[in-house]
Amino acid sequence: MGDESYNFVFKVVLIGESGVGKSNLLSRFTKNEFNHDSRTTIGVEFSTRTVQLDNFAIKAQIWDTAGLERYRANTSAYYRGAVGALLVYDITKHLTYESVERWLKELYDHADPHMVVMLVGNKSDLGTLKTVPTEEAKDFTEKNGLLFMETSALDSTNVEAAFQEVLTAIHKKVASREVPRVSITAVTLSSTIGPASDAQKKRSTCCKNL
Amino acid sequence: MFRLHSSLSDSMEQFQDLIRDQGQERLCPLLQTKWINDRHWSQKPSQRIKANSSKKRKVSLLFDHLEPIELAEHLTYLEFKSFCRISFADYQNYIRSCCMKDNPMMERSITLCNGISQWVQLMVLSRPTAQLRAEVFTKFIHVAQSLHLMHNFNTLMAVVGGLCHSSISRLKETSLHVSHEVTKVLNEMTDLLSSCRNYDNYRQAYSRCAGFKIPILGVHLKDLISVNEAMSDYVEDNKVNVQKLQALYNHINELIQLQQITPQLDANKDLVHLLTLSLDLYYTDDEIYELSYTREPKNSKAPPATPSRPPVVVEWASGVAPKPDPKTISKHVQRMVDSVFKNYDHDENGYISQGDFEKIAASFPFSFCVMDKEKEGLISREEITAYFMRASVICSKLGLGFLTVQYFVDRIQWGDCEEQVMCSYLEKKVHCVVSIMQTAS
Repeated sequence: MGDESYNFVFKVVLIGESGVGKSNLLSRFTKNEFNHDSRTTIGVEFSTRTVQLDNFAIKAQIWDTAGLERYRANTSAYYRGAVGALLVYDITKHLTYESVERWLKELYDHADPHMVVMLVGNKSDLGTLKTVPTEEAKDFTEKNGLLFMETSALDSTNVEAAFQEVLTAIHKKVASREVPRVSITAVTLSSTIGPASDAQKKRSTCCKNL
Repeated sequence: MFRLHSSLSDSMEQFQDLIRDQGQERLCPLLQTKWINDRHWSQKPSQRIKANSSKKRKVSLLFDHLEPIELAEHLTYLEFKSFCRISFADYQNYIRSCCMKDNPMMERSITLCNGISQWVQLMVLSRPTAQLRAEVFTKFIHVAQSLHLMHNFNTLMAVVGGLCHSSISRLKETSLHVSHEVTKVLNEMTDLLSSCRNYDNYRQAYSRCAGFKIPILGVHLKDLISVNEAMSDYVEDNKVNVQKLQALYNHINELIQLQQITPQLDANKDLVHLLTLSLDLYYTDDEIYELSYTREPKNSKAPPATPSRPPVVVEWASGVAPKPDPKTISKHVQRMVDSVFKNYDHDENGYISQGDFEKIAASFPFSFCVMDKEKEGLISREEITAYFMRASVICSKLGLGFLTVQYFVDRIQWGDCEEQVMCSYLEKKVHCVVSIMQTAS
């Protein structure tokens, strides 16, 4: 990772009930970067992937609760500095959709109000067992100003697109300076491309590249 | 994966026979398979650490009288007990099923952790003035420092997490009364426990600790799930991915090994019981927020009106019960009745015996309520629900929080509360009801 260059680091969190496939989505998106050898520091680079948007290298740092969602104490630490969120539910389990509002509330209680949020209906490969109609979810997202997508981590449908869309939306917000930069603590801005500059280290205590 | 396949154990046995034939019997133990389904890794975990019930030493059971170090020690006692109960198989099940179904030990550990976080918030919010809240806040910072010194990272996370929760961090008046020193310590703690770089600060501190330590379980569970998701079960030619199994084993084994190192603690049984009761809180996040807004309303510069009299009952979160609405009461009663029937309806016919009911009812501070019976000697679900509904309404009018009721439900559920402790607790409760009634009249 040492020789990788990037212009921005975006912290994006994955939230939603357990069992909806958050870890699946993440491993789909970042698969190639999982470091098999990092035993003690497992997963340090696991949840990152660098993508190109408009000639900028964006390092997406994606956080997966992976069971942590049950621990209330981790909540604040988890959301701090996040600029985007994928709120995931299971299209075949209506209960996981019903809890979406509670997750949204928690998100806004702890995270930056300007953050980009996408509602993700996962497991679209199980279309026949669908209990959450697309229209219903879509209406909800329109009312609440969220992005929306249905994905399948199993057959990869829309996984790439979902992450891309969220990262693009964040990038747009940052580039248009619609959001004051101070409020997005996780965004690392570097004038000189390269992770090791001192200026960058000072700016970002949160997303230092290892 | 993980389940012992009969053909594997068969071939292992054949292999062992072969070794014996060769006269190398001493190598046989290396081929054991029985541990695969062994659920008794942590046999009698509660025996590893004991609380003493010395009658010589009198202890204060009031929060205000307890030193931070005492609180930290007793929390560590509870935490270690709960940590030791989780077996190798529990970790395996967790990875496989990703849920808490059929995993009561894991669930209990998580519930304890969340209970501590909530308790910390409620204890701060229970105080009427910003000054008093700041004192409790400061006390918990000292508790956190002690926990850190003991290397109890899990409870440390629970306490710091509670203090960092937005229901507390939004209290601007309170934070004005918190010294810079204390704020500095909190910042150091949040840095230590920060999720940045996948809890790197914590991981480093954790690996530096030798001897007794309790890991932040959530972080390690997350690692297990991450390894399980990221590595494939099979490699090319349908070969089992041994690396993955090895990685999972190493992680679980490390956690299991930690159960062997007991902390040096002087825990008092009565305090442990009381603390256990206090951690069984039944508050939703919304209720805690509501309390937080009541203490320091949104966008208000003036401090909120404080009661002229400080709360008489300075006893373990008893004063923090916001008025429960009928819907909430009904929900809580329903849960409670479910617990009662789970434990006492032995033949599952929808009735519990008169004798059992009297035992249960005697555990609650509202035995003045009269029970209507339809069937001699048996009490139905409807009757017991109606009884508790009536009783809890009366209790809430008396200023007795619903918490009390919930405490005893949980005791009944776990069945490990000593009668004596319950009685002494009830005595205090009754005493405080009487004093409330006296001051009211």
